[in-house]
Parts: sequence; structure tokens; C-alpha cells
Amino acid sequence: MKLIKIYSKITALLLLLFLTLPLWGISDADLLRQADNIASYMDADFSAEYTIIQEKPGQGRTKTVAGVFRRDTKETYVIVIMEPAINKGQGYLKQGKTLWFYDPGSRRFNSSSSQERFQNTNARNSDFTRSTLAQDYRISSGADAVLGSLKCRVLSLEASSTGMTYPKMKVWISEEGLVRKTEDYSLSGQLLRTSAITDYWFIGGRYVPKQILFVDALRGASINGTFINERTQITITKPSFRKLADSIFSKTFLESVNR
Amino acid sequence: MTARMKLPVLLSVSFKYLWSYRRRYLFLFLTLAFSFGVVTVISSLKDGMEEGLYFSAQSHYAGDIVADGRESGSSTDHLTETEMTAIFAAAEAVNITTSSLAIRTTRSGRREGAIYFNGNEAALKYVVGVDWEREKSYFSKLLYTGEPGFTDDQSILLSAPIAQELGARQGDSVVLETLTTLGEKNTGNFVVAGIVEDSSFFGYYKVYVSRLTLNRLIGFNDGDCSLIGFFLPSRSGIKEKREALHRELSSRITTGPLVYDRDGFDEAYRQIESGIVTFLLTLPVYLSEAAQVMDAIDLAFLVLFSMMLAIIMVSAAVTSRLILHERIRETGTMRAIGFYEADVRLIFKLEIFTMALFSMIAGFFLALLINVILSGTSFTWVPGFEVFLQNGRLSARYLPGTIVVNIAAVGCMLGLAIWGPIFRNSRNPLPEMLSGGAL
Repeated sequence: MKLIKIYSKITALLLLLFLTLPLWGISDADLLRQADNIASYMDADFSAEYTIIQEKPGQGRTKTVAGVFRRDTKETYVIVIMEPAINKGQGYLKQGKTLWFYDPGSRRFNSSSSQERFQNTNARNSDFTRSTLAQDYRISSGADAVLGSLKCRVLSLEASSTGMTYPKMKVWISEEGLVRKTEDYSLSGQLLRTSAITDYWFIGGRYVPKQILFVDALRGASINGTFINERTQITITKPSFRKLADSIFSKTFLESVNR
Repeated sequence: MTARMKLPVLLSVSFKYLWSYRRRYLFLFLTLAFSFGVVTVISSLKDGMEEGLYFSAQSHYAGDIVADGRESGSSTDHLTETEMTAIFAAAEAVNITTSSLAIRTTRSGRREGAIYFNGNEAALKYVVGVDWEREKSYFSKLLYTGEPGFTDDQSILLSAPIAQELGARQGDSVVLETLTTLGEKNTGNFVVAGIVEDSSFFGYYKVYVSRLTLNRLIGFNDGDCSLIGFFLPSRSGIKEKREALHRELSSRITTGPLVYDRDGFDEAYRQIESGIVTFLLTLPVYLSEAAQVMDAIDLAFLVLFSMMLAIIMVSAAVTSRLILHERIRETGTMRAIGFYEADVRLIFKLEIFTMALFSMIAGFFLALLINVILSGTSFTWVPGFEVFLQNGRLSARYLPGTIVVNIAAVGCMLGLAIWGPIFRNSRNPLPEMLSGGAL
């Protein structure tokens, strides 16, 4: 056990060294590819508990707890809603490019879209899958920036493949190669959403976001004369890279959860 | 005495009796007048509402004949310059004369857009791009909350429910979000130029913007559109005009088959393999969507109509029985001085039908009065009712065919109700009649 711990620490240090050193030496395209790789788990399955707090100014907060199971090698994921009680048992299954939504009330699967909002929050269904920024966008410009205490590279992206929800993006990538902030824009350049990842778990040599904050630029309300944006905070706990059973990534699994 | 000579005499006798017993007939007169009035109100409003629905649909779908471009694998209706040129040339070749023409770009679907104001969001079902100048007459006929302002490429007209959901007023700046043809989000800033009073299913989730601006937002070329609508001066011959236009257009560009209802249209759309296919649609194709609403109106009309006819039948049966009973001695005397049974029956029938004629005339005037009152009342507060209104008001239509049917139905009911008592009355033995015996 001790040996494994030491080995993990050395691996982490080496990885950190590997990630930090090339920042000054690698191209923006490589940096983006690296950020994608860090947020993709191609060598293992991933599971975690996501607590999603949706805050609508003037309307209070709603809490959703979901179990997320990802197998990035097969581009598939399963999400099972555990809270609130009214939505318990609802689930999502992504198989290739198809996203199914299961409603235990009607016991039916309906096709959904990655572009749609997740459970009426500011997160999109596409936010739960692996990152493919380098594949979907081309870099139009890059600049150095400081984000809080972090030295970052800001990349302006434009969609290179069709059907991207946000045709323009800005991504802040820190020295370690981790995505720290994104801004999503419409085709005309209107800011639609900002997301921030303040901290990461580091488990088994892989990075997992601890908290993701989505701030909607268009939705919100004026409270006492101040405009407050609608926001969603996702807290990720119990991350695991243990192998998951193949049966989890199936419609039968979502149906069986409710039995 | 021949029948020809007898009829004027019998008519004269029946009129005299009708006048003498006018007080006895008053109840039946009032009942018939009221019932016929109600039947006329119901049928004229139903016809008016159907007309209102047609006009609403005509405005919404932009014309009596609509050239609609469908593209394989796309949810956006699209006509490029090639199709548009061909459509105009074909319309000219077959001499389609129009009272007006609409060229629109539309985004319609489950959630093809959203509008934002001050943090509030309203989902849209229809985003319609129009040429403000070309459709000036159409927009001048819409009902607005307040006086609409000047419209240009940055203007937007919101439906009243959308404006209320957003808390937006005229002059406010809103953000319209829609998807491009490639599925990307795009946004534009617009100034609210007017708020349209329409909460019907055609107009509830609808906004109008400039076609040029919408084309740019969704990624069309500036001159492109989704549909070209032909408003014809008359509704007669629409079917033939569509067929002629279809034949001509088919020789110029790829056209879809002529379809007659929504299911047929959807089926034809599914069979598009590639490129843009132009469909020529008439309102019944679209209105098959509203068929259920019309069926519900027809059913309600039938129920009310049947109730009124039942009232007429019962009232006529009871009143005629009473009158005949009161006049049994008189009937006996008529028979005693030489009137035939058939003549006696004819006199009674003439009396009642003459009275019915006057009561129906009175009923018609009553209906006119009721409709004037109803058309002066605003029904825009009834959710979704606007679709049946014209200029925000209920409008009655007095179609000759419908009035003839109403008169015939009332006449038949009356005939059925009085035939039995009159027949029995005339067939009573003379001594019994003269002694005032039972009917």
C-alpha cells in the first residue's frame, strides 16, 4: 500500500512537471488538446456523485443530486437522478450521438439533445461528457492572462464542426493544463454563459473538477436594483475510476433503478 | 269549388282566426321567436367564428396559396433565390392575380428561439421574419396594446402574453436567441416596436422581426425566405389555381406532390431525399391542425341547436293542443256547415305556419340585436379566443344556406309537433265536437 501511495505521488509530481514545463514551449493547439486529454478519461471508467444547486434570483434554490457514470472510450454516459424525490429515477443515457431521457412516470424513453438544459439548470447535457474542444473548435487567438492567482492562457475559439451549441468560446487554461474558466458566446458574439472550475480533485493521476459554477449571462433578476444572474453550482463528490459493469450503460439499467 | 278558388278563402279565414286568437298564440309566438333567434345567433356566430379562424390562419400562414420550401434533414423551411424566381415566374405564367403577397422567413418548432429581457426568458414557437413595408396593410390590421411604433431592421413585435411574461414594454431592448440552420446559437438585440394582442394558438409564442435580420441570424442569404404566400382576391377557384401553379412550377423546379392535409404533408416531407423541394399548400392543409377545435365548435352548435328544436317541438305541441281543445266546438260548427276535414286541417296549419313565419322574422331581428351586442363586446380576455375573432370582435355571418336550413329545421319540428293534434281534432265525431268533447 505504502509503495502504491509513493508511486502515485511520484506520478502526480511527474505529471505536474510534464504539464507545467511545456506551457511556455507548446503551441496553443497542443495546450487545448492537453486540456481535453486531462478532462477525458480514456483509460478508465468514471463515476461520481454530482450535487447541483440551481439558484434563481428571487425564486430561491433547488437541489438536484445525481449519480454520473462515464465511459469515455465508448462516448457513453449514464446519469441517474436521486434527488429531489419528484424527479427520482429519471435518467439520461448517451449512446454515441443519441441521448435518451428516461421518465419513470411514463416508463418511456424520449430522445433528447445534448444542447438542452440539464434538469432546467444552467448546465447543458453536453457538460457531462468528455471535453472535445480541440476537435470541435479552431483557435482564433491566444493571450496570456492572470485569473486570480493563476497564470493562464486565454484561447479564443470558433466552431470548426457544425452543430456546436456555442459557436464561439473563450477558454482559460492554467499552467497545469487545466481548464479554469470558459465563456460561451453566440455567433454574433453575445456572451451567453460563463463557467468556472475553481478546484480539482487529483485521484489516481487524473484530475476531476471539484466544483463547477455556471453563470447565465441572459437569465436572472433585478433584486433591489442590482441585476443578479441565474447560476448553477455543481459539486462533485465520491469520484472513482473503478471499472463499471457494462450493464450500467444500457436502458435496462435505468429501468431497473426504479424497480 | 276548385282548390284554386278555395285556397284564398281558406287563407283569409285562417288569418282572421289567427288575429282573433292572437292572445292564445302569443306564448307560442314568443317561444318560436326566441328559439329561432337563438338558433340564428348560434349558427351565424359559428359561421363567423369559422371565418375568423380562416382569416387568422390566412394571416398566420401568409396567404391562400403558400409556396413552402422544405429541405432534407433541415427543420427550417427554405427557399433560395432560384426557387423564388421560379415561383414568381410560374405565378405570372398561369396568371395568378393577388391582392397581396407575403415573403417570410420563419423559424417554427418546439423551441426554436427564446427572448430575454431583464433576466426573464420566454420560449418562442414562431419567429417570423417579414418585410415590414410589403406587409404594411397586414400589420395595420393587427390589434396592439397602445400605438405601435416605427419598424425597421432592429424592431421586434411581441405578442401580448410574451411581453407580459418578460415584463417588457414598447421601447424596451430585448435579446432574441435563435438557432442557425447549423444548430448554433445566435442572438440579436431588438427594440420592441409594438405589442400585439394575440393569445391564440397561432400568436401566443410568436414574434415578428425583419426578414433580412432573421435571415442573417439563422444563416440564410439576405434575399432568401421560407415561404411565399399569395393572398387571392376571392376564395373561389383556389384549388384550380393551385393545380395550375403546381403544373407550371413542376416544369421549373423540384416540387412536392399536392397534399390535402397535414398528415399527407408530413409524409411527403419525410420522402425528400435531397435538396429543396417546394410544396404548394392551401389553408385546409394547415387547418387540419385546427380540425379538432372546429369539430368541438360543431358539436357544441349541434347540442344547442337540438335543444332549441326540442323546445320548439314541445312548446308547439302543448300550445296547439290547448288551442285546438278550446276551439273544438268551433271546429264542429265548421264541419257542420260543410267544411271538409282536410279544409279544417289546412286552416289550422295555415294559422300556425303564418304565425311561425312572423315569429321567425321577429326571431331574426332578435338575433341581429343579440349579435350587435355581442360584436360590441370584447372577448380578447378569453384565453386563446382571438383566433375566432375579427378585429378583436365576434363577427356573425348570415349565410343564406344556413338560414334556409334553420327555417326548414324549425318548420319541420313545428309540422311534426302540430300534425298529430290537428289530425285528431279534425277526425273527431261531429256530435262529440259540438258538445265540446275531448280532443
